[in-house]
Amino acid sequence: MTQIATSLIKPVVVTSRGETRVLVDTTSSLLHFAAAVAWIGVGIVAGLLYSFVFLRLYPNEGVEWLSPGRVRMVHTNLMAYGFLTNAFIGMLHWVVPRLTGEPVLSHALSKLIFLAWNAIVAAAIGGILLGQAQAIEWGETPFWSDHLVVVGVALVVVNFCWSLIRSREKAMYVSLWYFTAAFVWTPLVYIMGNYLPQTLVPGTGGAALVGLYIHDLVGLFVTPMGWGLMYFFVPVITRKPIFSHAISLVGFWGLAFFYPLNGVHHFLWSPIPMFAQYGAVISTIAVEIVVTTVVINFVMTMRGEWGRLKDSIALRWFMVGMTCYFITCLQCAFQTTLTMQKVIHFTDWVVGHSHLVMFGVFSFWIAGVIEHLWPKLTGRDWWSRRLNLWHFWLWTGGVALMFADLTVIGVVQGLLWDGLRPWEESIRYSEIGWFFRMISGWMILIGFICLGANMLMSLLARQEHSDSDYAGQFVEAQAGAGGTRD
Amino acid sequence: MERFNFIFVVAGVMFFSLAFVIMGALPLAQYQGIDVVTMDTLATNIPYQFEELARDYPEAFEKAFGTREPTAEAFKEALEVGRRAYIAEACWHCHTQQIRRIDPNDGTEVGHDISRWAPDTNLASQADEYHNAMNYPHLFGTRRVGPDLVRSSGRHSNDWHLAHLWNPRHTAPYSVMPPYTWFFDDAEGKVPNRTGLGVVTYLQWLGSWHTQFAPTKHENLPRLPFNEDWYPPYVPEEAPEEEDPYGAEEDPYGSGEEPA
Repeated sequence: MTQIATSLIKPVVVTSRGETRVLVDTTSSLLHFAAAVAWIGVGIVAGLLYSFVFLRLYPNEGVEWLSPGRVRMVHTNLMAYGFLTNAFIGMLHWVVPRLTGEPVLSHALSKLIFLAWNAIVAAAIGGILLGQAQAIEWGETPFWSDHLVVVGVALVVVNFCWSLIRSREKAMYVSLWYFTAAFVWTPLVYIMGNYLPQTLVPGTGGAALVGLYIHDLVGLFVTPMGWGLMYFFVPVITRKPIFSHAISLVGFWGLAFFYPLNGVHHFLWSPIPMFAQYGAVISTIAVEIVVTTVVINFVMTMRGEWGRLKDSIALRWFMVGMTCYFITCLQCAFQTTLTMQKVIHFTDWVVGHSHLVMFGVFSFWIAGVIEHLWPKLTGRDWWSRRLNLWHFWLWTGGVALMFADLTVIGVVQGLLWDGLRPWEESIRYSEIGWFFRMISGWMILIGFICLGANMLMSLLARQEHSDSDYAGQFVEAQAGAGGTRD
Repeated sequence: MERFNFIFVVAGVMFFSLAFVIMGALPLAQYQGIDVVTMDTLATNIPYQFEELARDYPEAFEKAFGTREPTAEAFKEALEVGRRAYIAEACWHCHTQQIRRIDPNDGTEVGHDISRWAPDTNLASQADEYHNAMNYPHLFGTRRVGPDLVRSSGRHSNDWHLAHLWNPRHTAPYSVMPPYTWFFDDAEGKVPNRTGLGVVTYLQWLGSWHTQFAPTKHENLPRLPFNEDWYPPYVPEEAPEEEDPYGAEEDPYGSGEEPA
């Protein structure tokens, strides 16, 4: 019991400036992860509910606020703002103070951000259900909620940048490069995408901006956060430094340069001027090359450590996610070409692609972080390793099935359209694929129940976490240039 | 390169701005100085289907728009209502509003967007069509479960649309579209309400500038630069005339007569 008690007390440590302060706000981290898991549960149910529509099942027929179109927007927006954002903030609370040696601006502000952000998400979802959506893909949150989101994002940025600016650490670790960039990009991207097309720029010009927004939210917010956490947690778990500092530099600066240029590839062959379309295609292919360097860096870091996948489920999440990432980006380099776009654009191929990247990569990485951190944050061991394994295999199987299935029917749809077959034919040929998509949805939902139940039971079972480096304590790991603290 | 300030300024601000200029501002600059078509201008071309709605559902029409006449004011209001519902129900997530420039008629060999969605006008979507007050923001869409709608005006009758919205399977047996029963006032789907009238008006407006007002279609629309017209016109290669190995004279059956 004493150990549980001590693990929940935040240790007072000497910061990089020699002050004696509480460094890591584990409570905020815990709260954000709990909220993230709750939201992804709702989001998965919404996605599953939407997949019924394609089988002509309408369980909510006649209920206006549960109209399938609205449920779809709830699904995508909850994943972005409820799940991913909460999980990333929770992860930042754990990682950033450790790497900078400085606490965030204010732990009280962190709690306020937690409450405010989740209130905003709930309100925005309510707005979508009431039919106040905004026609920006991935930004369907009602226009009035966008102002609140901007304030929320600004608070998050200020809170963490404080820690970065005040740091007296000699070197800035790779993860922090990614986080720093994301702190600048995210508010800019959000403002650009949600305000300009809505108020100032109509039609085609606005479409170019919306293209940037759709892609930048993935590329400039989710991706840097994801790689930042990979650069932190993989070395911490394997207890090995990252393979090459130089490759890290190439990966980061390549991403920073090419990723923002990609957006227009969402609207190829549209009336958007062709020079922008060509530029987007070329820089998308360039991103794939950059991504390969990062993947090589991690594969080389894992050299000699692959056996750890047997016992470390967290490492499994990271490595499976990374494999999915490589597949996604390789796929992207091909599918973005104007030739391939003629067939696969507008089809389910794209839906499969986006599930592979948002679920198979970033959700998997977050699952890995939760797997690793939940015992440290709560001070209690996982209730059941078996449930965690079920969670892992159900999600992996689910996303593999969904990706393969949607890719295949995407090609079928594209070729049927190209063959000028009657429109109904593309629907009828897709039915079997849409059935298996629903099955994969069930797998993902059951996997989520395994995770949620295990997290709850771990709290209830009160089994002390045996790991010595519990919450907040410093253990100098030999990872990374800056000396990562576990 | 590994300092906070450097990353903040160069990677964060500068690279983002560069991309914004190249991918956002430059395409935008092409449309600078070209006035966005206002709702008032759009309302100078009222599709006949709107007049039909006013005639067929006079009570519902009056309840919805406060008049029994298909006036410009009522039309503007109906368009706004329709577009709002179109966005609220996320119609644009399953129906695109964009005919891509891929078609044998347009010089590419794969893809038949124009043949399928604009067989009458033979025109892919152009920037002009979106440069109006109804496109804040645009509704291009990224997934096409159901048909493209940007030229949907006149493709079906008002009655077809209303039956389709009440239960899509009534008109398209294999459709997976969910029913929108709250677009109607009664329990039988016979009288559309304000939203239902608005959605049908919106659908019948989409593309009406090409199908109904073709001779004058650009009178009220600004001409936007269309520099994506880079493709050489498609000229189907004619099969080269092969020399007939059996000339007419030598062909034993060509002339129908046995050679002497």
